[in-house]
Amino acid sequence: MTDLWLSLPALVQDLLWTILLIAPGLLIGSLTLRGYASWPLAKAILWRFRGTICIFVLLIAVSVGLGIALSAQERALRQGTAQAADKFDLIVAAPGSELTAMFAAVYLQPSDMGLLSGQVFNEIASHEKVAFAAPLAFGDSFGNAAVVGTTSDFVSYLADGTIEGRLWATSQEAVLGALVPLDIGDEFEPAHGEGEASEEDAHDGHHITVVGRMAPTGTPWDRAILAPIEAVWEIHGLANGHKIEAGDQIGAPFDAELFPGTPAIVVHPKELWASYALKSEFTRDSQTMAFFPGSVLSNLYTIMGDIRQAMSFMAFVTQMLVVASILLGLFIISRLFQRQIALLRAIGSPTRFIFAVVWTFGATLLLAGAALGIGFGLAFAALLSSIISERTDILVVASLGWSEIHFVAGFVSLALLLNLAPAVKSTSVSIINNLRG
Amino acid sequence: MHLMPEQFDLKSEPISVHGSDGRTILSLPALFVPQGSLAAIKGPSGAGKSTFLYTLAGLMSDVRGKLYWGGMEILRLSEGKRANFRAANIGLVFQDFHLFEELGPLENASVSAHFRPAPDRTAIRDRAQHYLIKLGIDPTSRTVASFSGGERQRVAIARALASDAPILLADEPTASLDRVSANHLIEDLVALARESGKTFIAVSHDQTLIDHMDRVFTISDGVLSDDWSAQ
Repeated sequence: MTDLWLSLPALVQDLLWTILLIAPGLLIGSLTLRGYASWPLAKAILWRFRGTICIFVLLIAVSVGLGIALSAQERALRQGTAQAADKFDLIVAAPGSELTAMFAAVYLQPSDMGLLSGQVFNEIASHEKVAFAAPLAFGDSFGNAAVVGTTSDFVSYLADGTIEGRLWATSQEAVLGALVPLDIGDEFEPAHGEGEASEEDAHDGHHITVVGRMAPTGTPWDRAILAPIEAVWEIHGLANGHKIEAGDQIGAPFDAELFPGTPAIVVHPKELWASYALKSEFTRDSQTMAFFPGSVLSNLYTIMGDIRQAMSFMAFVTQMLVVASILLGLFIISRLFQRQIALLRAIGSPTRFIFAVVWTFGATLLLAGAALGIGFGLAFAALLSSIISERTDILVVASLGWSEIHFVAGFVSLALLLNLAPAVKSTSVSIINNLRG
Repeated sequence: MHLMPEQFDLKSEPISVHGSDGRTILSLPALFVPQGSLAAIKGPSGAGKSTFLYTLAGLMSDVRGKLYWGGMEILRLSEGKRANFRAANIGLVFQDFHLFEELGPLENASVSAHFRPAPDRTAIRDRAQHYLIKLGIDPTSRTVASFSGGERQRVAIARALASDAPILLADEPTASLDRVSANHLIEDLVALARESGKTFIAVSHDQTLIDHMDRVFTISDGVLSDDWSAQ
């Protein structure tokens, strides 16, 4: 049985899960409503108490919406962060925290890191299994844009070769990320440091001209300015990695003696399988640390997954409390239309018809709330995504997935089941007391 | 469950109706009302007239004694079977109308169609429409929310008639009508009952209605104080 299930395509599994989850609700509905036309009376009652009904529907919608938003947002965040790390096959840095190095190299959230020497860089760059290795140098900025020193190979790779204008030819030129508010041909002077602590005048006299712009990547690199690593070294008064005889050479190979150091090296192997060998080779105690950002993210997601499970559980409990409140509300509302129920019973309505009318009434609230909740959830998630994207520059796009559909299906089914309680209660109203009421 | 009209004589052995505290609120001797009779129940307010009517409909919960409609002893029926019996055989008109405010007159008058078997629904709607028109109500009005008391009363009567039940029980059917409308309604109801052989029993203070009846029960302080018959 398990083998059969596993052999099914994911789409079929998801569809079957949805059907399985919604089936109890549909079964209850079809059994309850069979043979009766309860909707016109339920609609009349709904319309009569429309103000109260709207509040209940909104309550359900907010509850369902929060559950959906939480789930969709968490997935979107995972996808966004994973997509941002796509181009970073292997990162080599000085030994320390992989997470810190990954945040610096992939998400441009630099912190103090040790430097790798020119010897190490050359060893990596010249390795037979390496297509290219690019040093990354952080620490300068222009406005809100980080200025990152690297090589043109990395820029081409990051932009998939799609660059408006051209790549740099000298150490006084730079390429913009897609969202940097500068134009090709503009000049700027980098500030030392980033954010409020940056020193605007520290690199006075070092003008850099914009010569190109990368296509959007949906990563924090869209707000970065990429410059030759030589430029970053030079404006800090360091050697530029090349002997004087090399003239205006830009990029690798570098002279190990004149290489001031780099906090991280992005390694792109010639073959995917080679990554593991390279990781193993460049993981050296007290000298270098090599890691796959994907693995670090995976570990991070595991932790996030635990948190997500806890949050999902909390969301579920909250929703059940809301459902309990709704049911309590339904009990209270159903007291408001006891006279109509008494009338129906007096003129000979079967108990099951009363049951069907009250159940239809509650089911309408729950279904309307759940449907509206999907809209709310997507709206909440879109809002959260835009805030996260704005703050991190990671493209986060939340969408409705099977998890959310399963969640709504389960919620609706359970709520429809619980909705039987007020329906049962309504069948025991006193006819005479309510007719005379 | 639908019994033939000729079987619907009302016959009872002495009956007592009790409140939730066990107190006797109505006590009746043995009665016999032949099928097709027109009877009024009168008496001062609070005497137990409506209780009498609801007892005949099988709506009171604590009733001791035996009450037969035709061969059916309704007090021994379960709640569900009593409901079935009412649905098929008794048309009820309540003093407070009990309409669905958000529904139109036709939907109100044919409300029982919603829980009757599908083949009966069209007939119920057709009869509801017929009686509404006969009683001067436009069946196409959107809701009854803006209807006067008299219009509501007529919709409630059309609802009772739409099920084509052989027994019609009415609680103050003319209470909300002006004199002219009340007289028209009385003539219509009496004629209808006589033509179709329905048993028509009404609680009423309306002397015009009472004057049309074959039998008048007077209730005072929960007991039958007078039982007048035209014959």
